[in-house]
Amino acid sequence: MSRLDLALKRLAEGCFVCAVHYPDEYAALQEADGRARAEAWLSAIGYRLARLDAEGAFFMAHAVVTAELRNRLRDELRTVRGKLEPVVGFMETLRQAQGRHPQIHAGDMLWESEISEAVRGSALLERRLLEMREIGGARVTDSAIDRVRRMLAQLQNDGYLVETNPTNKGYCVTGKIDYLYQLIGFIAENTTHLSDDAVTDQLGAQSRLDGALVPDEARAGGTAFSEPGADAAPDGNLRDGAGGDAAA
Amino acid sequence: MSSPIKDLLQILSRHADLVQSGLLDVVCSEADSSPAAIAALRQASALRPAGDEGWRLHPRLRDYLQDHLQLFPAFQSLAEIGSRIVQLGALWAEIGQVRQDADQEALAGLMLTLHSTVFDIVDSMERNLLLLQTLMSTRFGNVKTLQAKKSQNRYYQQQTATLAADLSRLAVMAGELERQASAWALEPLARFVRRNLLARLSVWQQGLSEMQTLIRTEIFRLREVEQRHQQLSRMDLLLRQQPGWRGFEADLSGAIPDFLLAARLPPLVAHAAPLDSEHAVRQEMRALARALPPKTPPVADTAPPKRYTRIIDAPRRAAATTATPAAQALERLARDVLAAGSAGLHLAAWRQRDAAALAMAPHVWLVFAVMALRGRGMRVELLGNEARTGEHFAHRFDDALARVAPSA
Repeated sequence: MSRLDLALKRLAEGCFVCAVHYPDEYAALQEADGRARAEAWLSAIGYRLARLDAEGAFFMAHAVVTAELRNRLRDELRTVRGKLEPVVGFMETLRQAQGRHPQIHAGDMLWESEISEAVRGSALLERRLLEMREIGGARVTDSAIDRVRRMLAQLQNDGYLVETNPTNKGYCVTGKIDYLYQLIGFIAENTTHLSDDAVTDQLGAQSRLDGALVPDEARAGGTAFSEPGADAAPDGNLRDGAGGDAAA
Repeated sequence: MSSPIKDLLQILSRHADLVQSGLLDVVCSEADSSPAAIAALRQASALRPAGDEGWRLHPRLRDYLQDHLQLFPAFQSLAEIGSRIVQLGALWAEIGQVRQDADQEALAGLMLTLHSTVFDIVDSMERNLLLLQTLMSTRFGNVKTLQAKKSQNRYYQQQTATLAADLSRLAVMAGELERQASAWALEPLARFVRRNLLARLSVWQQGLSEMQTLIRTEIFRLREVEQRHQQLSRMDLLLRQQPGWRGFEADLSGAIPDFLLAARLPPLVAHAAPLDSEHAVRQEMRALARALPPKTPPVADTAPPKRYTRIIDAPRRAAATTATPAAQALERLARDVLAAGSAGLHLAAWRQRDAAALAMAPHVWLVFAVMALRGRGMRVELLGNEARTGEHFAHRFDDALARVAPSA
């Protein structure tokens, strides 16, 4: 079977053909001739060849957007949580484990040992992992390190990671991750849940160590959530005006 | 035969390890090398003091080595050409002065220096473009973190902006120089400037512009990466803090992003029809046949079959229909109405003359007669009573006038 045939098979299976996960198939689609043949084949069955961005993964997309398809997509977005869980939780855990220099984009390398070490050194991450119910096959007796292993395996099964170094357990992030980021970006564009305006401090006066009152406008700003890492200073005070004054 | 250049190169060669160390970092006399080696290189001006105890390599020597070995450390500055452009202008102004004095020897010396300056500018520009191309193609491969990449992007964006401004100045300066050289009959110099500067300026400017575009794209990409991290974090918080959030209503009436249209074909399920001649099928059929109950032979009945007699009832006679008194009275009424013609017949008055009609209650007879006569196509008008005391209109009737319909 030629590389292009393999690429077409992957596309038909709904895979995202990127340079990390399917290098041969990706190379076949990168060639002008291969791409033209793929487009011709897909158009013959009512689909088209699309990419996540200019250098991103190839995938098969519907060629014609019908009213029925629009309705189906609306239904899917009404229950989009199912698509986001548990990948968002896993990727956020990996991001937090990598500290100030996260590398969770297509082509970035992850090492199980580094993630495990970070989890071992952070009680917060360890608790987060132990509380995760979405990890497939997890047992009550599993340690946090076991769960790291299971989490990476699950991400690999879902196509977000590919194991490039079996000896040292090195994983490479695939191009499918762009699909997740684009989906989250789409949600951010079409809802107020992820916008900057919706991010407000929800700490009440009772939970502040300095006992300062939270300004009314800060509380009336919205019903969303706070970002612990973004809004809270290392000393526990807030970075807004009231918190700064109180801390001073 | 000994010469100062040979001696210098021999010193550098003899202390190559120390030169290599100095290329990478500041060397200390105690830790890195012997004082004798440092003293020798100091004597050859290859080392310069760095702080109280350290030594660093001569900047020109470091530039040469990095240039030759294609080493691009982080935050390496682009070769500056601004000062050389100034020098070029100053030399050209001096040439103009010397030309008026007709001092050929001084003019030749100035020309030589001007040529050298132009070559320096060309070398610097070629090196700058090579450095930028290498850095862009590897996306600053010598840095590991996102913050370092951002910092490098900002640094080289500033450097390329400065270089682009210098290039613009150089274009003006070279054009003016070439024009004046042609006017002063210094055609070789004008040709030299055309070949070495003017002919390359557009290529340099185009290359630099491409580099600036790439850096801007890279900066945008890094901002996008940071935004994605932020959105991922917020999405995670949303999912954790709002367990009831399932999704959202999206307006998909316009264009739909490609990623939402991602599709997959349904998996192919093998549906092979087994042949009866296959071994496994034969085995299965044999097993099924063995599991069947044994076949019993048919047994003949000893008793004769029971016979039944079919009895068919005689057809019923039609019952004699006898008209009721009311029907008979109706027939008589119909005849009298036909006989009365267009004058009509009051049903209440006619009832008083017929015994069968009198046997029925007056209101029952009246309704019965009205409906029956209307059914026979006769015209029947209800005659209302006078309005009673307190009533504006008559609401009751006790009589009707039947007559033959005009068309009948």
